[in-house]
Amino acid sequence: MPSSFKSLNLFGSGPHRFSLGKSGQLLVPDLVLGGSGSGSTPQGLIELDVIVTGRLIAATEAALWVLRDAIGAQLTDPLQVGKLFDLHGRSWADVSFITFEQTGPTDRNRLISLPYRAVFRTL
Amino acid sequence: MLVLSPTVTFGAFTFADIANAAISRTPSRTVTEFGDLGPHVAFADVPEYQTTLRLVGRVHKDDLAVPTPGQQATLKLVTSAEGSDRPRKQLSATCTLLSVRYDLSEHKGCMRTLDFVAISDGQADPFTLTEV
Repeated sequence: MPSSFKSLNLFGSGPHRFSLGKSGQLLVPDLVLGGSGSGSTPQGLIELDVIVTGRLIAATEAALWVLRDAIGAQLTDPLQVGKLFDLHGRSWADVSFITFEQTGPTDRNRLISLPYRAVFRTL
Repeated sequence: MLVLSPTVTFGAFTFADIANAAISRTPSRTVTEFGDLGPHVAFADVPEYQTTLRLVGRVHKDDLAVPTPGQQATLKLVTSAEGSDRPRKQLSATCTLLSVRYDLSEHKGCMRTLDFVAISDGQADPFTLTEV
């Protein structure tokens, strides 16, 4: 099944992969919190990041911009939450689309493509 | 592409006794992408590659006036005449000379190898093929 965010197939033009960011407790050194010594204080669970890396692929420059603009339209202020599905049906409810970053130059030969990294977060 | 016994000019220089000219396309950067569906490459392309030309020829006498690396000019390469009435073909491109090397051996004599890289506006194939 294709991946999706808010039922939109944003990344389906090319291969892409899902991975999870760090999970667990956020520990802050006591020194930073105004205390002394070498201890630290747990602040609660870290918000989970779901990271999508892949490549947008199109036959023309214009078609690639259509793909890029469709992704950009989901980067909203204020943040909106939606359901994110990976390629195997695993889902994360109420995640926000935080950042989209082109991670290399746009490549042009047989097809036009660009590598990217998209980050979703359960706030 | 391989051309045997061509006539070759590089700007004002004419290279005699060229045994063969080999045009190679070698990748400078390849793109291969994997997905989450399995172990195989899901996308491949070659967004950057070099078109290079190697001229190999025998040198029979002193060789003092040879272009130097970095020189750039139009390189024209005309195929040798053959037994048919087909017209000869000319390949031409703007090329930059990369290296000049001599290989001396008792059996082969002296062989000279010139390596070029062909350039264009980045989009068009640097070599054009015409009938002459």
